[in-house]
Amino acid sequence: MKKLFYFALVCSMTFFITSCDKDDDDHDDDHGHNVTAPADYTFERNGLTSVAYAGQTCRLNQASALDGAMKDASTTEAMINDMIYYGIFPTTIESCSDQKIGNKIAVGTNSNLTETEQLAVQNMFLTMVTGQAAVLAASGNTASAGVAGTTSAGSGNRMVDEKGLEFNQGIMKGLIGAMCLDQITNKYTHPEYLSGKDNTEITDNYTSMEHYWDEGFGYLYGRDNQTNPALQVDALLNKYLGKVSSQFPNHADDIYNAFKLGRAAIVAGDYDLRDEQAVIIKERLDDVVAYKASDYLKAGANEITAGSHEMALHDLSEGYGFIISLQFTDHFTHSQVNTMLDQLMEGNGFWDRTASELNAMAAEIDTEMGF
Amino acid sequence: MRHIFLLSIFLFFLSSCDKDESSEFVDGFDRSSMLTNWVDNIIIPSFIHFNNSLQNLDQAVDDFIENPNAMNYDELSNLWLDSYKSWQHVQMFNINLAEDIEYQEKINTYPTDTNLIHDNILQSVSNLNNDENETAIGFPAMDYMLHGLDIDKNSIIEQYISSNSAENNKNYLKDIIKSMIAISSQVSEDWNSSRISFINSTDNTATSSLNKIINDYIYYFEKYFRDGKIGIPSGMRSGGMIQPTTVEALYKKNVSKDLTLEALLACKNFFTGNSTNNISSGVSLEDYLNYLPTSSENNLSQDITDQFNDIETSLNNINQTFYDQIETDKWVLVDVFLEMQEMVALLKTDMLGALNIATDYTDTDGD
Repeated sequence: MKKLFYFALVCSMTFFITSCDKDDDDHDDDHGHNVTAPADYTFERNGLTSVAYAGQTCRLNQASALDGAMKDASTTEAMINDMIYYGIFPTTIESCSDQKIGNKIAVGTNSNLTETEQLAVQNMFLTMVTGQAAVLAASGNTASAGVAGTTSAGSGNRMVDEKGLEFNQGIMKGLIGAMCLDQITNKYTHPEYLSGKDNTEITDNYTSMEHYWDEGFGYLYGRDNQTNPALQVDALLNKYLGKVSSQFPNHADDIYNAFKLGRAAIVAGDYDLRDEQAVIIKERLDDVVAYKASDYLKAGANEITAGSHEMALHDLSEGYGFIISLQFTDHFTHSQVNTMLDQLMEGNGFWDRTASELNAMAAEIDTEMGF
Repeated sequence: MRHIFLLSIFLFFLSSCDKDESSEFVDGFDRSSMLTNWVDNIIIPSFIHFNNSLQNLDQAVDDFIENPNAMNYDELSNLWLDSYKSWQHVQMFNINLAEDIEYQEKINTYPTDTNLIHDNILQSVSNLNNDENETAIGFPAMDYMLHGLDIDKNSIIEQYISSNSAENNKNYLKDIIKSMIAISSQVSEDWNSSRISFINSTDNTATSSLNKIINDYIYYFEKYFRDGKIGIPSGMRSGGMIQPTTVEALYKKNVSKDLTLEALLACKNFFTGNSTNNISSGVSLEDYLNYLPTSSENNLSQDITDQFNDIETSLNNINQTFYDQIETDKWVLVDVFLEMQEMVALLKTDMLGALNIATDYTDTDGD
């Protein structure tokens, strides 16, 4: 449906461009863009930067602090809620001015999800917070099938619920899709969202359209080096873009270049070119999320095959979060995601899963993505 | 919906090709009579009604201050509610002077800032009509002064009799109503004096009264009716985390639904052209949509009327205070939100598309 819409949009634009243009001969519309991307994501106006994304840096900083706090057995439900929904942390978080992670969960303006589905995802995060607090409270127990507690398998202690799920992983990996991917691709760089946004009036040295694009950039690179990203510097999408470099050797460059060129296209007023970059960004980031979802399922399956079921719990918890994130790609619906999550949680949850079940689910993802 | 969007793109490009910058509309509908109906049968009468209610409230404040007893307290509390309901019929008309002086912010910003109120009381601040005090005046502040100052009715009345700050409390109560009356009469006067120019400003331009009032109506519906009354308290703007302390009339509590129903009626009246007291019905958006071929073929006005009813039905599913409902089962309010959301699409996309009126605001959610 969405693709059809773009097609119609492009057709109607092309039609009107030609119909308005009195000077058809000089007009080389389709691939004659003469916008050049700068060497890095540096954009200036009157000698000062026109790029700003402190609000995104704030949320990524908050996410890192949240990640740490959720592994601390003394953290309560109220404290987690304060962090996510009220932006209240025990220590000062850099770059913040009243931002909250909570109001950016599954709220992409151009999401494939219906409003009701977005609400259901938001509610799922609330439920996971409650779950995580309960898991922390039970951390004195030794975890086993049907018993929440701590498992010492693998590196460090992991705290899981009675089904073997680390809710903190569900939350963090879920945020990769529900916040980062959703905000970048289903809002700030989305052609339909940007269409008609103001690109002339300068406030704080940027136009609205420039700023929206930068905010999309910020959800990926907000903690990174703007001019030369190192990757793996946050707990969310940036981390995993860095981690898939062997599977997708060009994705990191493609995405950075698309952000640069798209931003330059906005400055030049070339919106077709901007929208082409948005498509590149979306396709590549969707790959990252879907790859990790599948990869963690396979990793869990391998552990189970190797006879260390307890070791699989952590992989599957990460996979669980990435599966939540799948519904923010263009490849999986909300109900497909729910079906997968329900399958993982059936019976005693991760404790009951078999390697073949998990591999089958991973294969479903791979097939859809063409991996 | 998508068709309408494409259609508007079509129209946009069509008009961008047009070198004739004239803003004359050519659909032939008598816009002036619609504006006349709004101003004469809805806006000005609503202001008269509201100002009268404030006078009654002022009298009740005086009576209570002079004699803080249970009877005067009840009367005051009742008249506060009457006036608050009456306010629901004027809040949406936030153009011209009302917008300039931040009228609606000064009358109905909630949640009210109880710390600021206590600071003001302690320091006997009496000049409240300024932007800094918007969170400490108006109906929400009076709600706190009447229903939130202590744990129950008798203790609250005692706050005006025997507490150390009894005199200051009385003064503050009086100062609030004084400020409400002062700015309301200014805004009322502005409507009276701008009546003619309002009626004559029928162009389809960003500054015409027609475009401004319609845009403002929808803006009100989105931000203050949908979000303020339902969306924010039920967590729709905070990732599902409920915010029950942001309900309208937090301290009185059991009237949030009445106020919302009253505001719904006001929204419906503006659309159908019914006067506030329902004695007359004149030309309005309903007629305009029935007149235009596209929207009339699509039965858009009927869809909108039906949606008003759906919102009312969903509101009537709430059988306790908003506060308690949100705490026990927020989804009943979420349903109301979703019905309101459908209406926003009908008004903002379909209706404005049919009328070929541009929105003059965008979501300022960028951060």
